[in-house]
Parts: sequence; structure tokens; C-alpha cells
Amino acid sequence: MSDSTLLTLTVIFLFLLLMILPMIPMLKSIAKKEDVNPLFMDLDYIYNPKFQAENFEEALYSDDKKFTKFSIGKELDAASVPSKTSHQLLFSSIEKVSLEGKIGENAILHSKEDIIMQNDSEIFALKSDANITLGEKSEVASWIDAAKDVTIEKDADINLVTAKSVRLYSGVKFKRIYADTIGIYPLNKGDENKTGRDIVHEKVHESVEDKILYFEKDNMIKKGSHIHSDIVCRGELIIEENCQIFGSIKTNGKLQVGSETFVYGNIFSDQSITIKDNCFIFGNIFSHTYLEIGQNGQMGRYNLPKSIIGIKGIKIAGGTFLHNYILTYGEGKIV
Amino acid sequence: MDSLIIIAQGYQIFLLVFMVSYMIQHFIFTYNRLYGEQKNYYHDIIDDELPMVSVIVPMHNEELVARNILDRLVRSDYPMQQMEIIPINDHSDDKTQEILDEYAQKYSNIVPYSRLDNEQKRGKTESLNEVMAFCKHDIIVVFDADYMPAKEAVKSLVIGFKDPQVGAVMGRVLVHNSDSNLLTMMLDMERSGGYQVGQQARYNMDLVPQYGGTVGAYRRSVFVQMGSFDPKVLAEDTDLTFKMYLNGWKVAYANKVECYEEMPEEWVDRARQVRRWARGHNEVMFKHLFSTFKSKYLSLKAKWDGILLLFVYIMPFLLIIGIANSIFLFFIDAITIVSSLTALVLILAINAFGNFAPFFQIAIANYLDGRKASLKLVPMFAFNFILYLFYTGLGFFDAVTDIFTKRDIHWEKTKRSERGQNER
Repeated sequence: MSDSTLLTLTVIFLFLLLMILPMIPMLKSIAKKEDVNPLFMDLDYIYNPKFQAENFEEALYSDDKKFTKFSIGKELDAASVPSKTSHQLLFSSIEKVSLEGKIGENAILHSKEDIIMQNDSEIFALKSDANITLGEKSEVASWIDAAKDVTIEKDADINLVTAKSVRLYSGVKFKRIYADTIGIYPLNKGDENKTGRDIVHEKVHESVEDKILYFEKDNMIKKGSHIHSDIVCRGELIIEENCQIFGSIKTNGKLQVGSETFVYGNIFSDQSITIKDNCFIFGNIFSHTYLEIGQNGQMGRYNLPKSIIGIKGIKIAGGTFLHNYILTYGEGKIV
Repeated sequence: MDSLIIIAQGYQIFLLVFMVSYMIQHFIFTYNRLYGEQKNYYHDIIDDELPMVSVIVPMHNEELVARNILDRLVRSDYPMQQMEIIPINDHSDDKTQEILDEYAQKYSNIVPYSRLDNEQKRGKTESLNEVMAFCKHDIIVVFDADYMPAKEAVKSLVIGFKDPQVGAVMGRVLVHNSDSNLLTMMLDMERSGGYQVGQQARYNMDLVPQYGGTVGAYRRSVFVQMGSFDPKVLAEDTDLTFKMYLNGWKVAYANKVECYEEMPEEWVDRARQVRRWARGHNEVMFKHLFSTFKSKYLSLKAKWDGILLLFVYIMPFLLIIGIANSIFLFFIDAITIVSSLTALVLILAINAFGNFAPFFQIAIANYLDGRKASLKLVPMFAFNFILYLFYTGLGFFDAVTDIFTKRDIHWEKTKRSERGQNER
């Protein structure tokens, strides 16, 4: 064999080797049938805000060894928590329980009666068949579920709450809240016993014309306007005070809704949404960034609940009622 | 001869510019999914006030899968009294009609529509156009017969229409028979690349996410105003996508609204499917290219994406011409269009288009889906690329022939296996 033939064969061999090298793991993977199962699809955790509470309940009544269980009386404090454990701790009571101190990141308290969490306390999750009250600066890392009412005092830090009704005070931080009525306190005088304020105008969708008001650029809707159609704005939109919009609104830029304005439809924005004081929004509110809601407003109606979503963050001022779902992936805060 | 050389050299530069554009697009999309700001679809909205919807399922000889899709739809969490289900029997000669009659007797909201007259033209486009003329509701949801939607799928698709700018919504397709053989596994990975990265990145960046013809929904009144589906176009889904954008509407992409699909298990069936897609897509390209350039509703970046999207099935044909062209230039010693260093960069760009960039997209999509072992299959896409190159080239010729001969377009059904009846 001549030198040139040898060289050619060596080059061909090296070329094939370099071709084959990335194929070896591929062929092994094909032979082993690795990762071939179809991707799993399940959206329950998204659509059901009570998903975690229901899963907990299921686990509670099954015989699995997920929890290390402790029966307690009227009190739970940091001293009653075992120092080292890898299991999730479950404290159960059939009485009204007062919780005090930092109970730990893997502890759940379940009571058939009310739970009162003292100021500056911490726990992983709470479940009550009655009411729950969280003291100031307390923290619940994962979820809270109550059959009746939940009250969350100033500066508390919560993640997910599901209940019949929820009262939130200033400084509270949250991610998801699901309840028939979510009230931001303090309320105006005379509103204390209401689940939502009276609706001045009933649903008037019959008058919505079959058209869309389309703005190519930034625009402003003048004070006191009444608009009977959906609005799509490709820029920023400012709706001045005292307007009535009988349709849905979508903006690709920022949206500002002036005070005393009524919107009988949904509000969507690719940017931030600012809703000033005393507004009533009939439909869903969805901002791809930040949502700010002023004082004494009402979002959704008691009998027609809607969602209030600010993907990056939500700020809500006092005196406002919301029905019935608030969500953010950023920080929700009562101001 | 000199002018021929200039044309050939000009063509190479034109081709390289396009290839580099696709390469950049693949990288932008992939990096957007890895590090960019993600735009959520509206699936987080909980709202009991849902509109009435018509769910349409076109069927032609679907006895193997008809029960499965209907069972899944009646188990959906959408209120049954607000949803009419219209399975269309399009000239089936198997037991499809019997199955539809059985379900219509059992469920009052299943209203089958039969197209059995031999005078009627067959096909999905004709079926959808006929049914849109009489179905009761404004929101139309479409599933192919071999699809297996999650119970939340209809509600999640429909919630997107709360946004008054949304004209159509597209969900995500997952491959049901990924474990059948190497082809279905690769198709599953390819699908991930298209949806998990491609569609979501387009949605994130306000580009042109596509309505895919199934696991999707659209506003009937709006679409009828636009002239409904064009019977001369095989890719009715891409046609709808561009009609929506060119009229100021948007297509929302719902990455978490998932639905299983059965993929072809034979290479020859896949090749036919690719050829048909290429044909339909190129018909849409001829139809909407200039309107896309001129559109007042599309931003500059959306136009760029829309044009690349329209050209995607012509690229393999242009690439074949480019290979022949470069051989021609080589033999007449005119390959050196620019300096050798620039030429090297351009050759690397071709390699990036043909090999690395799309594979990078597929690999990252599967990584995002939590599949790591399957990433070892990525080198196999180099062979797949050659198959696609050939069959999309044939599809382009079909589209050109359609334009010149104005021949009728016949829908070819993708072969089903019996796996559709098995639950996941």
C-alpha cells in the first residue's frame, strides 16, 4: 500500500470516526428507549386554587407516611416542635388554637375550630374548618385554607389563601387569593357589614354595539365619556374620570383608568394597568406586568366573580372589594 | 456567460442572507425562551361567565379514533349546556357515521353533520366552511379526530377571547405515540422545538405565533367577514393566521393548553405529510407575501418574522438550487464571490442554518420540557433534514403547479394507527 493510499484511508477513517462519535450515545439511547414516554399533561394545579388544600386533605385521610402527626390542644408554640425531622409535621386539633413563634418550614397546623396566629409567628401551612386570623408580621410560607373567613393583619406575608372571605390589612404581601369576597381594610364608614358596595348601574350589555373602537396610537378618552363598544389601543390609553365603558378594553401600551369610572367588560393590557379611586370594573383585569388599584373600588361582583391578575405585581389600596380571585407571580401588596 | 455568472453569484449572496436570517431567528427564539421575559397566556383567569362555543371535529374514516375524541370532549370541564359538539362525517365509508349517531343519541349537545353527497367536494376546508354557515355560536374550537385534549383544553382556549384583540388562539400539541419508534420520538422532539420554543418565543416577542388548524379556536363572525377558508389553499390554518394578522387581529399562543396528537409511524407517511404541508404553506406564501410587506397592522419585527414564516417551506428548494449553483460556480472558477475570510464565515453560517441552530432550538425545547436523555437523539436530525429537504422541495413544485394549472386540491388523510383508542 502506497503512502498516499494509506493517508487517504487514514483521513477517511478519521472522518467516519468523527461522524460516528456523536452517534454512539444516540444509538445507545435508541436501544434503551430512554425518555420516550409522552409528556404528561395536567393543568389541575393551575385551575384549581384549592389544589394544595385538597391534596393535603386527601393525604390526611389516607394511610401514607407523608406526615409525622401530633395531636395538640389549644396552643402550639415553637417549643412543641421536634428539633430534627425529615418528615412533614402535622399538628391537629379539635379546639380553637393559638399559634405562637416560628413553628418551622415543614409544619402544617390543621384545626376543626378557629386558628389564631400571633404576631411575628411563622409556619408552612394552615387549614381550618372555621376561621383563621393571622397576626401582624406573621408569615405562612405555602398555603392557607379556611372553610369560613380569613383575616390577615398588617405586614403579614402570605402565599396562597383560599376561604369564604378574606380581609387584608395594609402592608400584607401575597401571591394568590381565592374567596367569594376579598376586602381591603380599613373600609369606609358604613361599609363594614357589606360584602361589596351597591352597584349603581346594572348590566347593560344589550346596548353594546357590534364593533371595536380602534386606536392606532396613544390616546385619551375624555372625562365623562360613555362608550358603547370594545376598545383596542395599540399604544397607551388614558381614560379620564367619570367615564362609562360598555365593553372590554385592550391596550398594547400602559392603561390608566380615571377615578369614578365604570367598565362593564374586561380590561387587558400588555403593559401596566393603573385603576384610580372609586372605580367599578365588571370583568376580569389582566396586566402582563403591574396592576395598581386605587381606594374604594370594586372589581368583579359578588355573584359574578372574576379574576384580577398582574403578572409581575399588584398593589391594592384600602376600601376596595374584589371578587373573587387575585393572582400575581411577582409581589402582591396592600398599600 | 458573464451575466450568467453575475446572476449565479447574486443568487448565492441572496441565499446566504436568508440563511443567516433564519439562523439568527433560531438563536433569538431559543435565547428568548432561556433568558427572555415570558408572556403568559390567559389560562390563569378564572371566570364562570363563559361564552357559548361550537367544537368542530372534521372526520374522514375515523372509526379507530372517533369514540376517543368524543369521550374526551364530553368529559371536558366546559359547561355542557354551553358547548355544541359538531363532528363532521366527510364522506366516510367505514363505521364513523354509526359511531356519531350513537353518540348523538346519548348526548344532546353532540350534533353530527354528514357530508355524504358524492357531488360535494371533500376536504377539511370545505367541511369547516359548510359548518361555519350554520353552527350556532361565535367561538369555534377545532380538534382533529385523532387528537386527545385535556379536560381543561376547551375552557382554556376559549378564555383567550376575553381579550378583544385576540382573533384566534392556538394550544400546544404533544405527541401521544412518542414511544412507538425512532420516528415518533424524533417528531415529538421536533414538536417541542416548534411549540415550546418557536411558538412561545413568537408570542413573547409579539411576532407571528401561528394558528395550527387544530387544538385552536377562532372568532367565527370575524373570520366569515374575511371570506372564510379559501378552498384553493391546502394549509387553511396558515391562511387563517395571516388573514387575522393582516386585519389587525392577534393570535394568542397557549403553551400550557396541551393536547395529544398521534404522529405518523412510517417514514413514508411522514414524508407525504411534509410534502402536503409544504404545498399548502407555499400556496399561502404566494397569496399573502405582498400583503405582509404592506400591512399597516404588523410592526417591522412582526413583518420580518411573518416573511421568514412564509418562506420557511421554500427554503429547502432554494437550498437545493444553491448547492447546484455553487457546484456550477466552482467548475467555472467563480466561487470566490467575496474574500476567502468572508466566504469562510458564510460557509459557517450555512452549517449553522442546516445543522446547529434548529437543533439547538430542539435541544433547548426538550430541556425546558424536562427531557434530558432524549437530547442524545439530536444528531439524528441531520439525516431528518435531508428527508425534509427533498419532500418540501416536492411540495414547493406542487404549489407552483397548483397556481399555474388551477387544479382542484384534494385532502390526503394521514394514516392512523389503532393506538388512538388507548387512554393515557
